[in-house]
Amino acid sequence: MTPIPSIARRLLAPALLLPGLLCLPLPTLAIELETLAAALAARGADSTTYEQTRYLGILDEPLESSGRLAFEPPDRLVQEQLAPEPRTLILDGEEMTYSAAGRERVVSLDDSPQGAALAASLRGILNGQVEALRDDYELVLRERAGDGWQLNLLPLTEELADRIRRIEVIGQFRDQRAEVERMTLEFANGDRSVMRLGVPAGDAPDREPTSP
Amino acid sequence: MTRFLRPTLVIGLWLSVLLLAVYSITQTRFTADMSAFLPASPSPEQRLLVDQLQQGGISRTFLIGIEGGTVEHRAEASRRLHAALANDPAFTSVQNGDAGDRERARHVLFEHRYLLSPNVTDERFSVDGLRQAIGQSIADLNSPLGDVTRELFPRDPTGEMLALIDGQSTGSGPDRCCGVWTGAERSTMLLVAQASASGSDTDGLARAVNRIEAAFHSMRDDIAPSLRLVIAGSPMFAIEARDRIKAEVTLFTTISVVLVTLVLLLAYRSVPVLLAGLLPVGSGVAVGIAVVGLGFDEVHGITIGFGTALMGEAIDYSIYYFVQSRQGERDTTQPGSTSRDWLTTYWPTVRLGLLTSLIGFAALLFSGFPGLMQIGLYAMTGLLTAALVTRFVLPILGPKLPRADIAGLGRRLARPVASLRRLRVPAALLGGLAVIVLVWQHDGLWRDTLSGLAPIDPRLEATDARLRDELGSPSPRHLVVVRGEDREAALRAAERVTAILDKEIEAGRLAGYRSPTSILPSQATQQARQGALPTREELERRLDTALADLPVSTDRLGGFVDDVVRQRETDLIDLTALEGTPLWLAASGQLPEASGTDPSVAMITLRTADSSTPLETGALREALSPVESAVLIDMLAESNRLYGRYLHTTLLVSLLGAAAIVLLLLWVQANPRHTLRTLLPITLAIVLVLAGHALLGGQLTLLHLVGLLLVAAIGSNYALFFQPRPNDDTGIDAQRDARTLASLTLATATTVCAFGVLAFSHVPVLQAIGATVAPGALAAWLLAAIFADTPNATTPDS
Repeated sequence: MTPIPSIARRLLAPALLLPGLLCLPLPTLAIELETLAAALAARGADSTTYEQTRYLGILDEPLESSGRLAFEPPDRLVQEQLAPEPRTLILDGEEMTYSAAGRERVVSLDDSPQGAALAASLRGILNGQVEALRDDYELVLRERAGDGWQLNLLPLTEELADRIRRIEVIGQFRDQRAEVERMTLEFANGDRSVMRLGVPAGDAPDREPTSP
Repeated sequence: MTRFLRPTLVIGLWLSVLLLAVYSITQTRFTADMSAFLPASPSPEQRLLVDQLQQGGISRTFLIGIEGGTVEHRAEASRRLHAALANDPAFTSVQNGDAGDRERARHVLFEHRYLLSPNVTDERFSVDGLRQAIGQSIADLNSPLGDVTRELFPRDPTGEMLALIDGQSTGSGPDRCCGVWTGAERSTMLLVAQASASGSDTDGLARAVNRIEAAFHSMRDDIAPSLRLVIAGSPMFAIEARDRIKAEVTLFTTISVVLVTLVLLLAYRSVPVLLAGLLPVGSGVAVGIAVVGLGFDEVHGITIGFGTALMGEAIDYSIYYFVQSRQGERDTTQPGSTSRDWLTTYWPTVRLGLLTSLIGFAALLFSGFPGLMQIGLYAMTGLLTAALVTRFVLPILGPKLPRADIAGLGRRLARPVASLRRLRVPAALLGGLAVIVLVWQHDGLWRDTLSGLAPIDPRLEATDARLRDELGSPSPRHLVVVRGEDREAALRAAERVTAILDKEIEAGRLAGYRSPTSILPSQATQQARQGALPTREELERRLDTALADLPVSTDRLGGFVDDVVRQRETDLIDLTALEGTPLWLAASGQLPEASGTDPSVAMITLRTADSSTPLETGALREALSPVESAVLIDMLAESNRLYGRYLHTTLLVSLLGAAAIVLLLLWVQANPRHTLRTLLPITLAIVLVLAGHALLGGQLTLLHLVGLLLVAAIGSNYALFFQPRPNDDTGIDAQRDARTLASLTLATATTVCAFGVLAFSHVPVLQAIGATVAPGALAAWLLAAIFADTPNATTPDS
């Protein structure tokens, strides 16, 4: 049960399928994925503010939005965007509900391949259900200075790789719990979406209890 | 010379007709399509309903469920079954909700989005419209769904694809799991397969089921042996009904034949006579089927099932001949004279009985329902043939066949039967009581739904309901149907209807609808949308202005400009462009093929907020009145109305037939008293049977009515034979009466045996006829005896 061989075994399994990924950053592995998953899940149901910036190649300027994220293990996530326009995305089990301008759309996760895959990844990370991500991503976990951690998700399937280059999650361990600080989505065409969690103040006016 | 020539000619003619009939039967198609029992010339709405039941998409769509194993096993089986059937010519379409199907659908929608999106108007492509639409799409990019719309935006900055997808998903489709359709509990993977065979081609549908089963079984062991396949859907009901009718007709006909044979063998004590006795029935069945086959495209299984029923009366003819023609044997040494004697003494009575039966069954010919018309034609030709064979062929064969005399039975029965006459008052009272019961139970006596006609396996019904429920496609109850001289005209009319329905939805009177035009707009609408699309230069010019204040520029929307310009000049889409996608299945199901001279039709299914809220059909009809060809159909009410009309018509023609029989008897018997005495037992027998069914709680269907017609036909023979014949001289009268009584008793015994067995069938048709005719025949015989007149007021001696 020494950490390194068990991590290596797990990492090698997908790696054997993709020989190109054999050069793993083994030396930097000091924490186990289970530890992170448990630490993420340890928070239980919680909510936090977020700010999201999208850098899209087709647009002249980045898009800024903000709101609250609420998560509840194992599989519920509510993204409540408050600015610039109120929008709500609820992921519950296999069902995705999107409410905008008084209209509600319900889609099955299976039904909406790209968007759902991303939303499900996000949910998996926030709720500590990392195991579920293994089918689709190669998970690379690294320690950062001062109890920090970085998890990189590299798509394993061609279908996913056509859209996503990488998902990078950065966080911090605090009292046996793992907090997510930033999630960066890098798309295949160079577009980027950065979500910063737990942003204090700044957008205080938007945090009035508004219910859609 | 003529003495030998004539019999040879008769036998030759008979055999030729029989050979022709048998040949014709080999060329006949058989069916078990229950819609043959729907009217041939109904109202336009009913016609549509019948067409839908017979040929419509529903009638050839199988619902397939895969159960057992693990989720992954089921999903794998679903994918492999889909792959195996997708290219099978036996199916026009197979869907399991997999990514490939959805991707193809998305591709078609995307490639034609400017022809299909209802948002494409002149305003949309004006500078203001573009600014607003693109501005909205940018706002969507900055929403939680932004990562989805991000990929669409460069080519679809006005958001037509989202509008289309929103428009499609008005009803919640089946859930998905592992990329394929699944039930709500995830314990069943679902597929939908539409067979190429027409809904009335039960054989073709059965072959399609075999393909599904074969494909499933060939892969099952590769995946997991615990996987199970369930198939439901309308065609399964047709197949199941046919198989069951086939099996039960075979089983019960065999039992009936064995029983009747035993009874006859006991009576005749001669195999050759027994076989000769079956000749009229056999000939009748063969000629009957052949004639129905020639008159109709195909012969219904139920018509054949009726063969057993027909036996009841036809076998009587040979019984009358063989039992009655013995008489006079002692009076003459010439072999032919006994037959000649039968022909002069008894044949007129049989002939009269035959005529009344023919009139009774002729009633069915005018019912206007192919299934009943077949039974009518079959019974008429069959009986006529059987009677002719009895009249012309048996007298040639009969005298050569030695047989036991069963006059003894008649003599032994004479006294008890004669004493039955004392029961006149009780019988009349019983009849009166029966009438009171009938008047009292009048309302609930006849079942007024269609459901009682087809033998439906409750398990299949449950499976069907379950799969349908999990697919989220309950059978629609309300339909708006529009007509046009061609598909384009029908689609245009449908578009006018959907415009009205949209207003009804806004007003909250309707929850939603599914129209083929949301997938396949009329050519006119597509042309109008193309007309709204600007040229390349114009579009670029407008974009330059519209995008001035937005964070995107025209040169980055080259893909959008290219797509607009291309779709501006592309061919309009028609149904064939949708082939191979779930869109085709959805659209074609609501655009039934025009058949013959019928106009094209488009159907729009309506959805109420919840099933408990009734639709305000009156108000909706009013709202739809501007579209002349639009008809709102309540499927449930319509099918019940259809059946109600069916029952009503058949009752009416039956009553007319009864009136014709009365007139015939009055004319032939030239004695109202005799006629009354003939009719009384039959009428009482029918009333008693009806009252019995009413008391035992069984509701009567049309098939019981057919059974009652048969009771009248058989009963009329009994009543006629129990009548004293005119010009009787007392010498051989006793002997004659004994033989008559013996033949009637034998005939009743065979009828009760043959039909009594049918009463135990699970096929409603057979059960209804059996449960009506067996007690009816017995009652008719008893009542004929009870009400028989005694000419000399003396009991027959030993």
